[in-house]
Amino acid sequence: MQKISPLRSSIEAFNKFKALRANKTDKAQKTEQKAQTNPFGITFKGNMIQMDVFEKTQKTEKAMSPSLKERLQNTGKLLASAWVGTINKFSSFKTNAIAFGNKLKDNTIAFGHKLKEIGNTKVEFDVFKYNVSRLQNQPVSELKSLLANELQGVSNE
Amino acid sequence: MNSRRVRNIIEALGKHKDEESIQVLNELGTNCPIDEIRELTSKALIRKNTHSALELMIVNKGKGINDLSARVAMCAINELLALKDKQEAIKILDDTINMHSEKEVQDTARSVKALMSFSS
Repeated sequence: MQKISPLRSSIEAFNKFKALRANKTDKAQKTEQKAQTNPFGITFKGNMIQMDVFEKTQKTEKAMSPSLKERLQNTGKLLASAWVGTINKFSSFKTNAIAFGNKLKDNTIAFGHKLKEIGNTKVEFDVFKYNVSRLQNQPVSELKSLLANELQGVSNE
Repeated sequence: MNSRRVRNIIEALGKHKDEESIQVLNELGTNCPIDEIRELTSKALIRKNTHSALELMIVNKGKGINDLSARVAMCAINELLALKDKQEAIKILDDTINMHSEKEVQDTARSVKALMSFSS
């Protein structure tokens, strides 16, 4: 029986370990190539990061990216709603302004008509004009014409 | 018609010193179809208490005390009765009773004179 020296045995064990490791790394590379999940050969504590790990990361990415999209969408929605609100505000302001303008115009026209009416009607302050003591001092011919005018209205009625 | 204006004008004509005012009242007031105007005119003319004004109200048929409207006639009679100086009115009434051609006018004048004699 051959006597195995401790040095030799240790070298053999090292070689075996090396071969095993080489096999393991080949398998790992093959799986990597198949899955293509870890193209940069990222390791974690000496082990190659597997697909499931990346899947998790993908999931997290998925979980993250929609949130961003949602955020963007939400911001877009917010902006859109704000814009619509502004448009509504402007449109309501516009309608109000138009209504106010129309009202102002109508009021002005009505006031103008009233002024015309006032201009057409005789505004007589006859409290003093038809005072008896004042009439008494007027000539009879004038009083006659005044009375005739008043009674003319009666005959027309 | 503004009745206040008409009333004031008639009152002013009644108080007017110009004799022409009697003619105006006779022409426009006593011939007016509205009782109220005739009433106001008869009041104004009687208040004048002049011969021509009282003669219009006593002698003429259909005017003053002889008005067809009882209201106007009664108003004229009341006004005659309210006069302070009835001398001229009684004189005209006497002349009417004695000299007027219309019996109806004479009767009215007689009645008014009787009332005046009772009231004074």
